[in-house]
Amino acid sequence: MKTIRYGLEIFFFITLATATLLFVMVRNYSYKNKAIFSVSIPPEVTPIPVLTPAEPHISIMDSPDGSKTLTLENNDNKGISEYSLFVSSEQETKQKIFGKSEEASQSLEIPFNTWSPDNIYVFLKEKTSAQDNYLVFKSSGALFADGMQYVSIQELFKKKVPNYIIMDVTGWADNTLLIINAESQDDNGKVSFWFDIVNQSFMRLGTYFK
Amino acid sequence: MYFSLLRPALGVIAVFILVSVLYPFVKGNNIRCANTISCKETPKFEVETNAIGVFNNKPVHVPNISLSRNENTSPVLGTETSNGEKHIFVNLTSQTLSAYEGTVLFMKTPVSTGLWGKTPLGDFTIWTKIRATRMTGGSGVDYYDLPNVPYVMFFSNSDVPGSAGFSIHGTYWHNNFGHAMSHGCVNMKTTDVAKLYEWAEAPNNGKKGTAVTIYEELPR
Repeated sequence: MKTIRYGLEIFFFITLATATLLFVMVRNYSYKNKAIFSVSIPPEVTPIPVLTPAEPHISIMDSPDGSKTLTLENNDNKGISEYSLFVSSEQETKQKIFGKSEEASQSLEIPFNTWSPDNIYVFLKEKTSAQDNYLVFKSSGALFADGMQYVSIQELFKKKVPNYIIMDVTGWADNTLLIINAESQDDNGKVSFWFDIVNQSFMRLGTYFK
Repeated sequence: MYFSLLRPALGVIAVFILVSVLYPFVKGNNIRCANTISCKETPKFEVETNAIGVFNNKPVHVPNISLSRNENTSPVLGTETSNGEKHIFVNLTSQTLSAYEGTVLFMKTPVSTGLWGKTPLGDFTIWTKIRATRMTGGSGVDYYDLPNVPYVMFFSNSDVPGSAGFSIHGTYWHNNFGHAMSHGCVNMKTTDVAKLYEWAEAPNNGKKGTAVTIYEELPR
């Protein structure tokens, strides 16, 4: 009789242990699956494209003494480049002195020698498919005596020195004189000129600034 | 008979000795003086206030030099992690200066070298650095007298003595770098030369100053 009782008790404990084990296993399996699914299922939402404005292209050139900075910002917008020219210094905030829209075939750039030695003037190179132009500005943003915002060297040169073509404007010979390298249309001879920004006149030189 | 043979031989030897002795002087005299002041006396630190200079016979406004900041030229702590020898290369053809420390490029920038006077070719070393000094030279229409020339590094070698006055220095009277525009020196934008001046080394404790090689590219 005792033997049967012990047998039943052992059977009961084994059944209870087996049931508990199965319960724990099933419970763990379902938790793991829940965790896996919550991580791996991608959200079924189509992302909405956000139109972010393109970063402007920025060119910077400090003045020879380091006290001022010229910044040219360029934003491309449907084949048109919007240029903005700024002057800044440690004492003064960034001041816009010029803005212009250019077609894709044209561009503006800051030459290495853009600043006049006394920081009064700056010049830009305007690249076009035909002929490059050079624009001179007052770094203060002030207008020239004739009320113009800038002086177009190419325009003046064509009027005043008709037999030569500008090859390059290299930099400043002094505070007011820009150096122009030109070529004769007659014999391709190379000649340098000074462009006096104050008098807006050209002087032919004996020395060629190659 | 022996005496008659000896006389011409002694004459040849005498001429050879004379040429050997005089040649270096004759050659040395052919080197044009790039800076009249340094050709007469040792260049020295010199600063003027509210001065007026002359370049190409025209008056030039001379920037005052503020020495309020620390002008100590000794190496800055933390920058002495040398990977190799410092070397400055000046390319007369492209009008550029490149400064290397070993194989690492420290700086590359446009410069202006000799137009009215030739910049000497060859291998040199910096023999002295001067924060600012006066430079004069040229004649007639290309006369110049420029006080407060900033960040001057004079260089020399056995053929071009220090007294010839050739140097790398800052420039306040023109801004036409990348094109020949000097009387023989190497003109640099002042913001660039300030960095080079801090980086380059003058002779110190028996060690030579930073090497400078000036060359031009051969036409292809």
